[in-house]
Amino acid sequence: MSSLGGGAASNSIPTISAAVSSSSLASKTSASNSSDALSSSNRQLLTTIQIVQQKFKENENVLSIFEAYQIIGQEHTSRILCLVVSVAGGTYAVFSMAASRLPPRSCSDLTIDKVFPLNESFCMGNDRKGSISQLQFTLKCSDEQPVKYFYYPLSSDNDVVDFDTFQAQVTSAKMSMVLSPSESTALSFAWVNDYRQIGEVKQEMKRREHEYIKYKDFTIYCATYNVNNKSYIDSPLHLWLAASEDAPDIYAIALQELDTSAKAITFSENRPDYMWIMKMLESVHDKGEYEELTSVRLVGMMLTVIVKREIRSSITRHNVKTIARGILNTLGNKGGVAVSLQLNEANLCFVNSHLAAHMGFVEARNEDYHGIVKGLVFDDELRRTINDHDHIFWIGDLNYRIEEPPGLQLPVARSTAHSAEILLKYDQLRQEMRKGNCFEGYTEGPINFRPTYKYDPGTDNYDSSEKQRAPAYCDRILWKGSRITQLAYNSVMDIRQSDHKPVYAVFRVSIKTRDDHLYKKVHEEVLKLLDKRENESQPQIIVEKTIIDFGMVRFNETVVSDFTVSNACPMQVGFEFKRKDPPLNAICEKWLRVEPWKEKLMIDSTKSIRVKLSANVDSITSLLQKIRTTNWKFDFDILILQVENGPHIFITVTGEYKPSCFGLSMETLCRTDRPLCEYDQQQIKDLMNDESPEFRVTMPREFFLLIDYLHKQGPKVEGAFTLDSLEFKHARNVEFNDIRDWLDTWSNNEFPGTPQAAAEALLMLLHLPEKPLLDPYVDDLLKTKTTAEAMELVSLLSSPKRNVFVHLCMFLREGIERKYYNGMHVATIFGRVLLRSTKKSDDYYRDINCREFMQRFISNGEMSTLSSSSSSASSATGSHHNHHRATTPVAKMKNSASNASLSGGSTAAVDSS
Amino acid sequence: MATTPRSGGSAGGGTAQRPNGTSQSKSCQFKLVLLGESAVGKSSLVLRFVKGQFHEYQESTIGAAFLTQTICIEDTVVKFEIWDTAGQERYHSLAPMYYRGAQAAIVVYDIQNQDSFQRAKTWVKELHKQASPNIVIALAGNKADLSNIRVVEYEEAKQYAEENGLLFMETSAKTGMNVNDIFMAIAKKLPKNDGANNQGAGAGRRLNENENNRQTTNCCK
Ligand SMILES: Nc1nc2c(ncn2[C@@H]2O[C@H](COP(=O)(O)OP(=O)(O)OP(=O)(O)O)[C@@H](O)[C@H]2O)c(=O)[nH]1
Ligand SMILES: [Mg+2]
Repeated sequence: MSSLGGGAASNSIPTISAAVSSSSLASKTSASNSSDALSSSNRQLLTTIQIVQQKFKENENVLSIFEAYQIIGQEHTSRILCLVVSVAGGTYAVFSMAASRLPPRSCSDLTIDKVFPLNESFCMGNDRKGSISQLQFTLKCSDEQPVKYFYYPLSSDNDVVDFDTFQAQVTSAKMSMVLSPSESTALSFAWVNDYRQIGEVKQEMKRREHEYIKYKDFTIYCATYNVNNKSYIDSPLHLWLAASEDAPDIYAIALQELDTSAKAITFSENRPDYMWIMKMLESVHDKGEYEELTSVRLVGMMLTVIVKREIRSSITRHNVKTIARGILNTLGNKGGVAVSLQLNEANLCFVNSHLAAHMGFVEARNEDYHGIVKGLVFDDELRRTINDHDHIFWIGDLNYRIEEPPGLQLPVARSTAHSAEILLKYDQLRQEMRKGNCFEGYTEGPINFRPTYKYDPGTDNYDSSEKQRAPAYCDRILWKGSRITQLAYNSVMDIRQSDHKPVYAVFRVSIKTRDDHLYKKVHEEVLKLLDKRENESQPQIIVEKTIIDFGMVRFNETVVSDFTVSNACPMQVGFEFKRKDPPLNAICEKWLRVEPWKEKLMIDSTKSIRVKLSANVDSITSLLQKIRTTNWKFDFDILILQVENGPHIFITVTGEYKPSCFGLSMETLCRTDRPLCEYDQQQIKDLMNDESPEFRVTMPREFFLLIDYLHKQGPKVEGAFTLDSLEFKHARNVEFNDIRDWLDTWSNNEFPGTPQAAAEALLMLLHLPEKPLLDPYVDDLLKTKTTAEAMELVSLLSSPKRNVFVHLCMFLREGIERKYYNGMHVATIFGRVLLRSTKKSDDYYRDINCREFMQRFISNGEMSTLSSSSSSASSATGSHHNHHRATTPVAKMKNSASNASLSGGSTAAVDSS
Repeated sequence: MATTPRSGGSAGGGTAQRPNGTSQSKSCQFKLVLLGESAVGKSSLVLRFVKGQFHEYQESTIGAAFLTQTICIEDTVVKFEIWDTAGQERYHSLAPMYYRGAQAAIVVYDIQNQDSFQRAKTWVKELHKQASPNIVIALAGNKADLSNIRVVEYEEAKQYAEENGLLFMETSAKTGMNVNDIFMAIAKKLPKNDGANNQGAGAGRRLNENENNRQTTNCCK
């Protein structure tokens, strides 16, 4: 599979590249390689395709993107369509995304609103008719309505391919899956579901955020100190870190110049300094219990986040990142370190930066700032930048100085006479911020403390060295984001080990917090709403009737009924009749035809469905079996009309079967005491299920009537039994139903057909019962070697079967003897009928075997054996039949049958011995 | 094109705005089927559970309707795919198609109808014989609002349920009594590991697909 996914992916790249300008391609490759590349290149060049890519997982690759829009109501809504391959699944899908701005600037501007897996049913239609629809196309997959999109003839973004390219890529992606059929593993579209179901709930939850979000105040304490290479300072840090009245919830403590030795710089020292961290933990507010959450260090810069134990569990995520802005942007003596964390529902970012030094390097500082903002990307699942946070605190030695106003001698800042207010007028940071050159969107609180740099260590005196550096507000704390209130901002004069004074700021931040109770409530509501949507979007079909009553249904007659189905919903809907379980494995029983069995209904349309029922030679056997075995009221069938993605509707096909002799077993026929036309379905069912050994007659009257008729025809029966007799051609004519009625009424009228039709009726009578005449000894009989052996088994048959068999053989033998029909043919067809296999395997040798078996009974040589067995069968009745030995078989048979039928119920127990 | 390696987690779909470790709840999907004699109130129970409604003149179901309803228990989101079947005896032969592959069943009887209770027992027997072996079965004695004219005693049904390992409640689709509760009880009893989830995913609306699969496997044998 990997070869498929990977191969196709790399194939598609050249096509995409062709559509992208070379400059953006270059930035794309450099930016996507690694985060190092990101930090050094300009992050604003992150291309749309890269932003889209961020929506997906690691081995899901965005192959191309395409700009489109949808018209929803009166509104045009922008969509970004992208073709994505899952390397693991080896499959493709087109995703449609709503973009809150175009081009998107981060992946949070995008929401996936629809997914189209490129499965078999996927189809991208482009109907180039009309003016606006020229720019229209549809995407569709399996169970859904096609979704209509429009595209712009010219696209604004270099990343975006044109329509023809996009369509070609989608088509070739789909083809590639068809062409390389799944090898060992099946193509999997499972990955697509991650974006489908879950998305909807999350999106809805996001939309209703205001219902379960409340704001909870947290105190955040930011502190910064340039420690001037003092590795450990035994100073009263609590003055710096515990200056607030209440114990803060979170500390972000920034240090600079922890170690600026060449060694530390060269090896980009990044191990947090635990001596310092211990010292901090000792010095934080003593009204709370604290623990270190995380620390991050790059050479001289270290940022440590310390949290109150009780809120630790509210922090669900934290990440750190460093970025070097020293010489060539690789050395870590300058730059930034940052911590990103999620507190309840809010994302917080703390940045500690040490920007370029020296009075004249304002530009460099601004550049450093921008470099950090653009280049610092956290390695979290969303690849957040600093600006992707709700609350940002920028702490550090920003190194901005106080400009020397022209005309004023001596560094203005040196004079303690000047208030902070005047000094700040000349503060470079404030000036640059006003000009919009850096820290856009950041706020800094009022400064009511002296410049924090540069002091003679151990004193509160400004630099007295030769350099006489001008004092400056190097150490600053700024913030960005809503619901932040600064409670304090100050420096600490009494800590004197460094040439900087430490600075701290205390904030109250209202943190977006989920009310679990409300959240649960809204969550359930959202789930219910989606259920409701799902339930209500089910297509509906109205069926004209759910019961089709055919009334009286007769053997060998076809009845037809039509009913309509109408679309009852505002969209096209498909339906089909559902296939039933094996053994049936079809949409309906054998005796039914349903047309059409599958259909699509346009809006407001109605279709007619035809149901045909015929209880004929092909189906009567199973129909009678079903009647016999149905416990409850019998229905011909129940069709399941399955609305695509909707309910199932049961359509009952009912009626009453009018019994006929065809298909009934010899035993059942021998239990009748009147013509079959006088029975109803229930009575015949009871008769079929009657297992008593009592029979009213020795053999079925209907059998006798046919044999008798044929016998009387003499030479006219010539050719009545041929090899194609089993095709039952006569039964396909309506005239055949006269024969049916003649038999079912025990008619005294002349036989209403030809001898050939009578011969066929005889075969049908023997062929259509559920079990063959020689059941249950078929297999045993076929194994017998001698007729005598076979006769022993025959004598074990039920008496109706035995009598029918014996008399049939005698009758056939007579016909063959008189050369009315071909003995070979007769043996073949009756072999097939009487020894019919109940298993489905139609074996050639078995066929021969059956024929040979039959030949033994109907050829001349066996006459005596059969006669004797016949008489023995008859003698079993214990009656006066013994003396019939000399009479012709048919004459004898006629006697016994008519005798039996005449004697009726009273002497029914002919086999009672 | 090259993707940037990420540390853990997916950035999939709507997770973008709210990636919150603690709130991530498990979700399972189960196929549930309602069985029982006609007019005992199967459709009414579903209607109450899914839409919170009750119809005095609820039409008899002629077919099988599919509805979904999701509930949350603890941190698990349980999505039921509910198949309401036709109770009329003439449709009995079609029932296996609907209870096959179901992880749960509610067998309903009417407390004022002794026959319906007997019929419920035969449904339970049939399920034990033919449904999937670990199916969770609940017995619902419905129309509990009419308990003043009851004929099936609570204790009798309760004892029967206990003997047969069934959940049991008397419910009323009319008043809503115990309707959510019985579904909740089932959800609690169902195994909510990943396996259950997968099982459920194949069922329900995709009944058809599922069956085709099953048939192909049969063919291959
Ligand atoms: N008093 C009362 N009546 C109920 C209750 N539940 C259902 N009913 C009524 O009983 C009748 C049958 O309810 P249905 O929900 O259609 O029964 P069903 O089990 O779905 O029936 P089939 O679809 O034929 O299998 C309707 O008239 C309902 O209004 C209940 O809890 N109390
Ligand atoms: Mg119903």
